[in-house]
Amino acid sequence: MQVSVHMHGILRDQLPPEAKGRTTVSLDDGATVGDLLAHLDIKRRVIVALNDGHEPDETYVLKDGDEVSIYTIIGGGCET
Amino acid sequence: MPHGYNGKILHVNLTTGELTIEEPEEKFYRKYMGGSAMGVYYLLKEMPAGVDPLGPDNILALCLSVMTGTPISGQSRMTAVAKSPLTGGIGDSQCGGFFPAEMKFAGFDGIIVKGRAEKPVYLWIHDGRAELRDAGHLWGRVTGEVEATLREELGDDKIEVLQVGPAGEKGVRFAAIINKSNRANGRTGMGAVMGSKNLKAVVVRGTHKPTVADKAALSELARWGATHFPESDVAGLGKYGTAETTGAQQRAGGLPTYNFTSGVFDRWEAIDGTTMYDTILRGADQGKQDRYGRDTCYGCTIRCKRVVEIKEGPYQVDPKYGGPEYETTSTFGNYCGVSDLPAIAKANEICNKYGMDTISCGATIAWAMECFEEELITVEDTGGIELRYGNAEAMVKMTEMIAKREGFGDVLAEGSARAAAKIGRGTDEYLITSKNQETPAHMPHTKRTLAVIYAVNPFGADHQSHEHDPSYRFYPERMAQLGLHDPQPKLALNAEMVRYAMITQHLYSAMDSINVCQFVFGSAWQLYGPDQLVKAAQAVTGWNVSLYELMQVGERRLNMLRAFNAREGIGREADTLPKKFFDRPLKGGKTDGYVLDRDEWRRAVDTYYAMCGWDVETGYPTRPKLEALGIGWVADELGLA
Repeated sequence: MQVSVHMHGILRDQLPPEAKGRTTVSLDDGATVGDLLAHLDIKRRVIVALNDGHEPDETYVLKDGDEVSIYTIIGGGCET
Repeated sequence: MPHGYNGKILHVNLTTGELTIEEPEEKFYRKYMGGSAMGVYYLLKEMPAGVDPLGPDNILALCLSVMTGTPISGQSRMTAVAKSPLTGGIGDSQCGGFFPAEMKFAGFDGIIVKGRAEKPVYLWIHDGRAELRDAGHLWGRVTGEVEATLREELGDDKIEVLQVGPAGEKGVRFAAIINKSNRANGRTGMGAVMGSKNLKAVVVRGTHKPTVADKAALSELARWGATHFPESDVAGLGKYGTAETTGAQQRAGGLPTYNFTSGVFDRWEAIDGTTMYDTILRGADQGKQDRYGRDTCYGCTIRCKRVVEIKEGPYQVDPKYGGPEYETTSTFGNYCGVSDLPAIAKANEICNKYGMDTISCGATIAWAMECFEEELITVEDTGGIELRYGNAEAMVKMTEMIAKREGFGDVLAEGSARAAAKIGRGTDEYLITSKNQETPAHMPHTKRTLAVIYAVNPFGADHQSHEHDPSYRFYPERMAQLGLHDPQPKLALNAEMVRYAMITQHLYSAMDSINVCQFVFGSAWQLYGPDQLVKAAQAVTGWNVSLYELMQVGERRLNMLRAFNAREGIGREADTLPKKFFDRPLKGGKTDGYVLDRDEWRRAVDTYYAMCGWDVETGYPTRPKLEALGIGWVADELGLA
């Protein structure tokens, strides 16, 4: 399956500059949010949000076509 | 020989022209450490209650700390304290930059300014010597010009200049004190106080760096910071500036939009930190913005400050005036419904050029915009300007008019609360002020402890006075150092969250006295945690200070600020939140429908006073609490039984 990913802030530096933090990732069926973060090699504390606003934990099983936004935790500037 | 500090406080009487040097004992420095605690000490000791904030009897204290100017990130900070022309109570504001370190090198730990000069003057301090000089030729001129003129006149490129711009001269009630033409003691109108004294600038130059008790220990801490910074949670603040947080706020529904009508702004990506980095930072056109578009404070590894350069188009921006912070992109941006980043950068430039707080300025304009949309303010008031949400041109124009006190800008230069009182027509319903100070860009609707701290903070709504709610959950290791082990569910405002707010407030209060940057040191996401703040203070001073002792400094300072207000008759009745936060549910996004509950908030404030050991009826500090903090003299000053 494929999920589109938007990596915000400093996380976008893990992708080539021209990507501006956006990429599409192919994962095995049944892959979880944790698998996605491992695939992207994200080691920071992050919050993951789906395009419907739902914020799943790492055990959440992704679906083909999911749009995933990933944010760092910054300065108390976040709330889940 | 003290380590970290000079042992000298300069007293300046502008009325008489007399300059005297005080040499306080070591125990004074250990008890108050510097910054805000040191400043309010002089206000309580040497200033009577009831003075006119813009009159000669107000005292302006500019205080460093025992750590300023030493080789560790985050120490180049200076606090300005005076009675505030905005709040009517205590005023308090911190700046960074290079001025604080240079002032330390020049030989003083604090400057206590009294009186009013007959004509404009500036204070020139160099290697322990101080003199007042004529500033008639500098009066009325903008900050960048004054810097350049003074560098040329004094023949030294290494001077640091702290000054008021034309807004401070004209008594704009949220005027800032500016250094480097782009750093500000922004909040509570300290620039208006300095301007009212005819003190145009303080210029410093020194060659005597403070000694450090344990160089090896401080170097080790600095090395640890440099090594861990790239993987730390402040790495993004370094590269993309504080506006990196815009997206996280938007996701949470905590991005104040249309004067706190909503927590989401649909065009947020146009004004966030990465967009700024890609488009308007100096050097961005050549991909060299990391080199030319980022700036720092003395000795700091993070480099979070922005340098914007725009050479073409309607909003050209001179890089000497820096670039907008998150608070600035918010107040001129989402608060006003403006998504034109160059226009926001222009408003920021005007504020730094004329010397104004970007938070109060942008938020005051946003309030006026909402009143305009509600037809409570009309073009008759504004002189024909369509002050509507999203009108970038009107926002920039109004910023300039406030700075110059022209037309409707003269009304808004009083701050939104006084403007509402003058205009009437129900415009006060739309205020977002606490103690007349406009609320910064963090929303108590979604981070509930802000509802307590915005209200009880002695100098009005402030977002840098405690740790925000989510950190309790996300940073258990550092929270444990403060005895905080029990994070609560989202949106809770129970006793444990009040305890969390108060304890972290004491740490932040200590940091505003020991004068360290709250992005570098802190209780959660910052580069260094509380244990490392203790190590740094020990290494610099040689004192065997503990976290307990630092927390007491913070609590002592907070009680002194409250005592200053109590002496002015300002207590619980002033600890309010904007009506709008209780009466008007947010619209849209994840926080759609969110509103604060008055009863829950009142209970939380009661709990807070009781935990602080204050009188729950009046909100005043009590004698037992003041004596427990070793400042019984403050209770005497208040005449407490």
